[in-house]
Amino acid sequence: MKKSIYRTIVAVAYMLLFGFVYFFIDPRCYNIFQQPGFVLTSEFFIDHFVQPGGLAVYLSLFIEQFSMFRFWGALFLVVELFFTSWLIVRIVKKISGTSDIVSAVFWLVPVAVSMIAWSDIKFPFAINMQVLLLAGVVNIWMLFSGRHMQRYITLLFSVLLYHMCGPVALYVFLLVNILVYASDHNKNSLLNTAVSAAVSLVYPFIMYKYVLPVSFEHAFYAVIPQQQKFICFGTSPVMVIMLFELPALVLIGLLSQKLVAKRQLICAGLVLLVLAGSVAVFFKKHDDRTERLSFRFAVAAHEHDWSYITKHYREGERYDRHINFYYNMALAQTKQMGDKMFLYPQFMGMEGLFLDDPMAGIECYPTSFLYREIGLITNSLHFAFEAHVSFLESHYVMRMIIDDLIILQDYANALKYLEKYSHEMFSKAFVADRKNFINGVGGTELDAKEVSLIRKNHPKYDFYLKNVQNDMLYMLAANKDNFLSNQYIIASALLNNDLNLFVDLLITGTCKVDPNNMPRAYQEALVLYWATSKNIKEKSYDFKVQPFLKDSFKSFSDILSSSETEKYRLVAQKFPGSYWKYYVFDNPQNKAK
Amino acid sequence: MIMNRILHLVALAIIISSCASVDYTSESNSKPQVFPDYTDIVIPVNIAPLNFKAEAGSKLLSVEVKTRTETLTFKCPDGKMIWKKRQWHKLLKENVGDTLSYTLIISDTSGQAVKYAPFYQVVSPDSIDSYLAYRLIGTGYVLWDQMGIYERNLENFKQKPIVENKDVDNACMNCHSFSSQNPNTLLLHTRKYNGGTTILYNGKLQKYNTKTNISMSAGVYSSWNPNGYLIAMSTNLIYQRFHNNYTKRIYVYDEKSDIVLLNMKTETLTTCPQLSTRDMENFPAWAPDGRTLYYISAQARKDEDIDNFDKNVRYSLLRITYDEQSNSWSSADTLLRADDVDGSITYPKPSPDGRYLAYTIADRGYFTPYNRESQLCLLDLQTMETTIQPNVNSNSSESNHGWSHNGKWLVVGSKHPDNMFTKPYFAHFDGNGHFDKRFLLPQEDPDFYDSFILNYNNSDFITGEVAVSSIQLRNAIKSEPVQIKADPSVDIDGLSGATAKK
Repeated sequence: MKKSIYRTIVAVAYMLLFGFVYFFIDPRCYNIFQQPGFVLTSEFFIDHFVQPGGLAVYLSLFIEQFSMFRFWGALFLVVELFFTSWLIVRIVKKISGTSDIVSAVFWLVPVAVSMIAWSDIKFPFAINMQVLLLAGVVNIWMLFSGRHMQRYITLLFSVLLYHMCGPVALYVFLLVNILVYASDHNKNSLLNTAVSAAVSLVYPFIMYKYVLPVSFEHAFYAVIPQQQKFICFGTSPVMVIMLFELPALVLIGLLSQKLVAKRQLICAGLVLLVLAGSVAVFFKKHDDRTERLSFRFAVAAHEHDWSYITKHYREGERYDRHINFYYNMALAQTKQMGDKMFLYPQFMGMEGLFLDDPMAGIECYPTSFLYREIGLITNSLHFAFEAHVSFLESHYVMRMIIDDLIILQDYANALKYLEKYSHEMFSKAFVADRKNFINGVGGTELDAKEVSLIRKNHPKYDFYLKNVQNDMLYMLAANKDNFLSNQYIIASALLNNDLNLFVDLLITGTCKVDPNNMPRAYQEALVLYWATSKNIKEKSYDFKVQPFLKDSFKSFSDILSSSETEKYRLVAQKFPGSYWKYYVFDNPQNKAK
Repeated sequence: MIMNRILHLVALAIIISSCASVDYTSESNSKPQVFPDYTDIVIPVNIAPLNFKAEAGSKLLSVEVKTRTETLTFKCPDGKMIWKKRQWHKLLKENVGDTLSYTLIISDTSGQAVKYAPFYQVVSPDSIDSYLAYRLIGTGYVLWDQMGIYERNLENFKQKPIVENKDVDNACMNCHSFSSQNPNTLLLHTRKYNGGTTILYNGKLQKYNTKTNISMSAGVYSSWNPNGYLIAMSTNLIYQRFHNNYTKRIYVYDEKSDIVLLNMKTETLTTCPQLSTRDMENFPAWAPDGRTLYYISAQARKDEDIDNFDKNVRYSLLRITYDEQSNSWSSADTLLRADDVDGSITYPKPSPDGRYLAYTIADRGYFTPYNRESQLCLLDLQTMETTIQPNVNSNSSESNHGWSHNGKWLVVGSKHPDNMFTKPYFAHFDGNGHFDKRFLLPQEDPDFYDSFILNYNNSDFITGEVAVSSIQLRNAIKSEPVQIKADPSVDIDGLSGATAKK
C-alpha cells in the first residue's frame, strides 16, 4: 500500500472524527459541571501527587477546561486520540512487524471506540486517563526495542504509574510485564515482572498505612480517587475499557506474532472486529443519550437558546427530570408554559418544575440558574453556594456566584470572588468585564437593564424561603409583571392538582392572565374545576373556555367512567398532552396512591 | 580578595537601597488605613509576623519602625510590608513591654505620597497559645464536600490538617473541643458517614456513640471539665431556615435541646431533670473550679415562633453545680435573664481565672454567625456587671470566641469586614474587664484574605500540636464506635425531647 494512501485514510478518518466531536458530541457538554485544574493551593501536592491517580485527575481537569470552547475542546479530544493511536501503532509494529494496512486498522480502533462511546459523559476523562497510560506504552516500547529496562526503572515507573493512574493501572502494568515474560522468557523480563509484582502488592499497603489521604479502597482497587467521584459520577465503563485497551492490544499483538505472523491482514481485521465488537456490545448496555441530551439542554439554557430545547425535547429515550426541568424553563421563557407544558410527561410533578427538593450537588447549579432567571436572587445565590461545595471553582458556578453578588450589590464580596476566580484559566475576560460593571465603566456583557430588572423583581422585604409556591407569591407581590413567576406559580398549582389555588390565582388577580384568551392547559384546568368542585367560585365564569373543550371533557369523562380496562392507553391516544391526563394519571401523587 | 570586596559593596548597596527613605509630598495627621488593621494594638511576644498593606486603592511605599533602641526603614516596592521572620521575632523579644512605632508613607488614590501619623504596636509579655484549631469550610449551608479541621501555628504561618474529611469518606465534621487548651485531649464529632464522637482521652483515641436512651441526639456542643474526664455536651435537634433578606441569609435553630454529662472514666452518660427540661438548654461551659457548669436556656418554642422569625426565642444564662462524688446536681440558677440584657445570650465562656464570662448577645436564637447585630460581652462574675466590649466588636457578627490558657488572649470569630466569611481575631485582655483592640489572624501574604473564600469555624486555642496524627484520627473515625452507657439512675426520656418521664 502506498504511504500516501495510508496517510490519507488516517487523515480523513481523523477529520471526520473532529467533525463528529464538534457537531454531535459538543465538548461543552463535558464542561458544564467540570472544575478547572491547576488550582495551586497548599494542598495541591497531597491532592494530586500523593493520591493514587491524582495526577491523572489533575491533568484531566486541566485538559477538560478546553471543553469550555467547542472548537478547542473538540481539537484537544481528537489530538489526544491521535497521540494514543500513534503510540499504539508503534507498539503493534514493534510486536508483530505489521504492514501499513494493518497499522491503519490500529489507527482506526480509537476512532471506532470514540464513535461508539460518544454518548458517555465520562468519555473525555477516560481519554485523558488513557493518555497518561501512554507513559506505560513508552515503557513497553522500550522493552520491545531490545533496550530492556533496569529493575530500578521498573520500580520507579511502577510507583509513578500508581500516582499517575491509580492502582488499577499498576496492575495493568504488572499484566503487561507478565505478557512480555510469557513472550520472550527472558531472565530480565522475569526480574522486571517480580519487581512490578512486589510494588503492586506492597506499595498500596505502604500508602494506606503511612500516607494520609489514601483510604483502603483508594490504595488497592479504586480506578480514581474517591473525592473525584462528582467529576466522574462513579467508575465509567468507558474509562475501564480504555484502561484495558492497551494491554488487550499488546496481547493480541503478541498472539499475532506467535500464531499468525504470515497472515497479518487477517489478523488485523480480526483485531478490529473483536475489539470494536466487544466495545459495541459493552456500550450498547451503557449508552445513555437521554443523559447527554440533558447536558446539551444545560448548555442551551445557559446560552438562552430556548428554541433548541423546545425543538429537541422529544429526543430523550426515557423520562428525565433534568430534561423536564429545562423544557419547563424554555416554555416559561417563551411564554408557552400554559399551552405546551403537558406535552412532556410531568411524571415528577413539582420536582420536575423546581429541583430544590430533593437536593443534590448536581441539581444546585440549574436551580440557581432558574432562580436567577425568575429574579429570586437570594435563593439563586444560596444554590450557587451549594453548587460551589460540590463543584469547587467550576467556571459556571463561580460566574453565577459573582453575578449574583453583583446583582445584590455586594461588590466587596463580588471582588473577592473575582480575585479568586482570576487565577483560573479563561477567566481574564470575564473578570475584566465584571470589574468594569462594578466600576461603572460601560460596554460590559452584563446587561445593566437586565440587572436592574432582576433587582426590581427581587422582593425587598424579608420572608423565609419555605416553599416555591410561597416564594412565587412574594415575587408577584414585588412585581406583578414578572412573567416567569406568573407562569411558575400557576404551573405549580396545576402540578399539585390544586384547582382551588389555580382558580384563586386567576380570580384574585394575583396572576396576570387574559380571561378571554387563556392558554390551553389553563382552560382544561378550569373545565375540570367546574366539573369537580362543589363550591364553584362565581368569578371563575369570567374566564372563557373554548366550547369544544367542554365536549372533549365529556368524552374524557366517558372514558374514565367506562368499563374499559386500558383507560390510560385510550386517554393517551385521544388526549395527549392534556392537563386532564396529568391530573388523573401522570400526577405522581396519584401514582403513589 | 577583589571578589569579596565586590560582594561587600553589592551587599551594602542592597542594604542602602532597602533602607532608603521615600520622598513624600505631604503629611497627614490621621493614622494610615492598612489591611489587616494592625494599628494601635497590643500583640503577644510570640505572634507570627504582622504583614500588612495599604487599604485598597492606595499603595504602601515605605515603613519606618521605631523602637526604644533602633529605627528600621523598609521600602515596599510591591506595596506590602512583609517581615523577615527571624528579624520580626528578634524585634519582639528585644522589645517586650515596649512599643513599636510605625510611620508609613502611602501613595494615595491620586498618586501623591503622603506621610501619615505614626501608629503603635505594644509588645505584650503575655504570650499567646502557640496553636489555633479550626474548621475550614465553604459557604454552602446544606451540602458539603471537602472540609477539615486544621491547626495553625500562631508563631509562624504553618497550617496543617488535624484531619480532613476526604480521609474519612467525606464525613461532615466540626464541634471539636479540647480540655483547657490541652492538645493531648480532643473531642471531634463526625456525622453522616463514619458518624460518632472521637475522643482523645488519657492517651487513648476512641470513637463513641454518645446517643443513649436518655439523650435526644448524640452530643453536639461540648465543654471539658478541667479535671480532664468529664465532658458536658448539649444534645440538639437542629434545623435551619433561609431568609430572603440577603443580610440575614440563614437562621439556625433548635426544635429542642438538653445537656448531658459524659464521664470518660466510666464511659457513662448522665444528666438531671434540671438540664433536661422542656426548655432548650444549650452550650454548656465548665467553670475552672470544675464544679460549676454555665449554660444557656430558652423557653420551649411555640409553633408560631418560627413564622414570627423567632423574635421571642431568646436565651438566658444559667448555672448549676455538679458534685461528682455523689453524682448530684444543684438546682439551676439564672445568672442573666434575656430580658435583662434585651437580647439572646449565647456562647458562654468563663475566663480561666473564673472571674469573668465572655458571651455573645444577639436579637434571637443561639447560633449567631449570621446575626450581624451580635456583639461580644463580658460579665464580671463578682460584681455581675456586664459590658459590651467595643474593642472586640464590629458591625458584623461576632461569635464562637475562646480564651487562651493563660486568660490573656481571646479569639473571636467575626465576619468583619465582608459579612460573608468568618475569620479569627485576637484581642489582649488586661485581667480587669478590658480588652485591647483586636487584630486579624496574620498571614504571610497580606493579599491572602482578598481571595480567601472559606470560613474559619469554631476557632479554639491549643498550647501545642494535637498529640495524635491524622492517620491515627482517620483510623479512629473509621472504626466502629463504642456505645456509651446511660446512667441507670437517671429517669429521663430523651427521645421525647427531654424532661423527666414522671
